[in-house]
Amino acid sequence: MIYEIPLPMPDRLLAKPILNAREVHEYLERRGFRPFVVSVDNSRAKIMVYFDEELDEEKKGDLVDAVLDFYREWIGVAEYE
Amino acid sequence: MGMFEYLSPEYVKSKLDLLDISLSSLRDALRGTDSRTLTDLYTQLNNILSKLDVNLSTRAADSTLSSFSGKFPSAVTLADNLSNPSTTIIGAANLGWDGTYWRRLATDTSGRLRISADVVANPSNLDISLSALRDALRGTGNKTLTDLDTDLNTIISRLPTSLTTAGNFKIALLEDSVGILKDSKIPNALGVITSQDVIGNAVNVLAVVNMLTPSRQPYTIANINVSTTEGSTSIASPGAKILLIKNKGDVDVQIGINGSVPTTNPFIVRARTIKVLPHKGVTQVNYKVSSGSSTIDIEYYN
Repeated sequence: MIYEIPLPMPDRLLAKPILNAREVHEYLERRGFRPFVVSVDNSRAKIMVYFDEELDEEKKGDLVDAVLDFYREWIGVAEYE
Repeated sequence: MGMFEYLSPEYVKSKLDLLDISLSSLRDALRGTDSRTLTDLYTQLNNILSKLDVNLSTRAADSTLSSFSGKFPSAVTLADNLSNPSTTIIGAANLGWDGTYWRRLATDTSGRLRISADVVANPSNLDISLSALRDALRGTGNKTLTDLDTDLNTIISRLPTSLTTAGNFKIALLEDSVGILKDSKIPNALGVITSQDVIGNAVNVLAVVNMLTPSRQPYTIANINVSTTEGSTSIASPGAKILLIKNKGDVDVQIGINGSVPTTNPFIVRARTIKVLPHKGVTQVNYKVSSGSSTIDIEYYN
């Protein structure tokens, strides 16, 4: 199952692309997820996360939150920006 | 009628001339410079007398004392390497004081001194008792050297006699066990890969499983967009053992394995081609194109 999370402020991502998808992967694992693949598309500003099984609605929300938390920290913006 | 008798004046004069010093001068001359009296002398003599408690005749005569001189060696100055002196042997009784009486030191019939030490100096190294040392050495299991010897003998009895002096352990497998075939089942011709050898007998062969051989589910990550901005895809541990990258676009795709795409001489998957990469464990694939864009599929086994 693939979950595609679009990333806001793509200009900031292009200025500081994520070249190490493994960092996102390990971050998600620390947040309790077990994806088998994480793919970062810097040019289209999105992250695809692959799971063996479908996530329930709550987990999907948690996944989006986790990816965005990582992204905010990566580009250096606070949650309220 | 009276008769007068008188001394001759010359005679009297001669006698009076003998009184040539005064009586006080005579007294002082007799008492001497320390002005001692006869009483002083009497006192001193009495003191001496009190110490002469027996007659001197009862004391050893000088001739007797002189006979002792032969019993002792001549006096010499102490120095190293003196020769062995001749001396009179003098015995002494060895006694021990028990606090009330002197007791004779005893020996057994072999002349060995019999000693039962009650209190002895305790050197600092003797800080635990012998029984404590014994118990510590025997441990909680209370094992003796005999116990160890028994076990060692048991171990020795189970060792094969084929243990060589070079330390090589020769052993014949008599039973099949985990991962090991008994020697009778190991074929001489290991090159035979079928279940029969060249003359048609059934045989067993040994197989080696390579660490690169995949053993898990293969996955496909399809239609990954590749642009001039580098992207990356991570693969869960232990990573891909065999990685297949299919370039479905019309431009070459530059690849980085477990890191960014190298700036010089990167691994390239040409347009419309597939490359297969065996690897110890690919946990990340990076990709980009020098111009335009492309699409790749990543397939892997781990």
